[in-house]
Amino acid sequence: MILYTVMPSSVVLEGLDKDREFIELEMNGCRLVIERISENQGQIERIISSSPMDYLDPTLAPGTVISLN
Amino acid sequence: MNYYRDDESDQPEKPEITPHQEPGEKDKGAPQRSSLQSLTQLGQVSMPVPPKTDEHCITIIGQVEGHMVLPPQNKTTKYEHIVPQLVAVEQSPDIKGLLLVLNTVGGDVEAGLAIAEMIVSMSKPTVSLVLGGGHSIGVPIAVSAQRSFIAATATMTIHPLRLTGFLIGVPQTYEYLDKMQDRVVNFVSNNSDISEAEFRSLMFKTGDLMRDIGTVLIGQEAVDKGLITHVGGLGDARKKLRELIDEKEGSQSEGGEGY
Repeated sequence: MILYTVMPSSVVLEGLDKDREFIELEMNGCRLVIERISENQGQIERIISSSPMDYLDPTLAPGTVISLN
Repeated sequence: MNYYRDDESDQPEKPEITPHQEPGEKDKGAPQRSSLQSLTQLGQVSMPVPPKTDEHCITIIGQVEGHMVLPPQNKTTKYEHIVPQLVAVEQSPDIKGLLLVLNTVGGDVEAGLAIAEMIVSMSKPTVSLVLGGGHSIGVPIAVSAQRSFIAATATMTIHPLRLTGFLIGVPQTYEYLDKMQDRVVNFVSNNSDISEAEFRSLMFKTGDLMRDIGTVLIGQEAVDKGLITHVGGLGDARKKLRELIDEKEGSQSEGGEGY
């Protein structure tokens, strides 16, 4: 993996060693990888789906914060 | 903008994680939550409801994120999300053309080239617009569209590939890096009006960048060098996309004979 960017790698990769918790679950019939950002909140990291149309769905966009309960 | 799939899916309703809802406010939950999110993320409470349009827009921003999840201070564009979106655009009968908006500092070489190769191989009209910056691996992505635009104040930095990041299982030699660099040079020279030799000379120029070698092209300079098609903004890019869409439809209805 080569980073071809004008930003210095020390800035880009700072905090890479931090532990981040990722969980896989299903929402609206679509499999998602969620990053746990707090006790009961998660942020969508990516979609795992073989249907391209799922990737156009704005409610499943990476970065969306959802409640975990 | 969820008009590409049926809302009534034929999957049975099953218990699953749902967006947070206040008790007794079943239907109000979703719009309230998304208003608050919208306010936090974008500074606006309600987003305008988009009318149906046959042009789709994809943005490439921040770092192009590849095989490794970058730390959270980075704004990233995930290639694994963009690539299926491009597939959806290519497949969908409702979408006739793609506008690609770039403001990126570069990123993962393979992910960037993957996106660029996907765009170049699409059958539908594509137009790219570089705003702010289209640096490093943003250059191949910008030139991959059929026509490209750059805002007068936008910049594109052309510089050599360096070993920042991680290489596993391949020799970390100069020859290897050179080969990787060739991938970028070849793609850019094959998909724009700049020659390989000229692009390399921009890459290795001294004097432009303070602590590095390379060239900064601003607006018109990118057009003069043959990288980008036109200087322009959103209106110009959309107009060109419309032109390409109409041209394609015209030649299709004429049985491929065109004008």
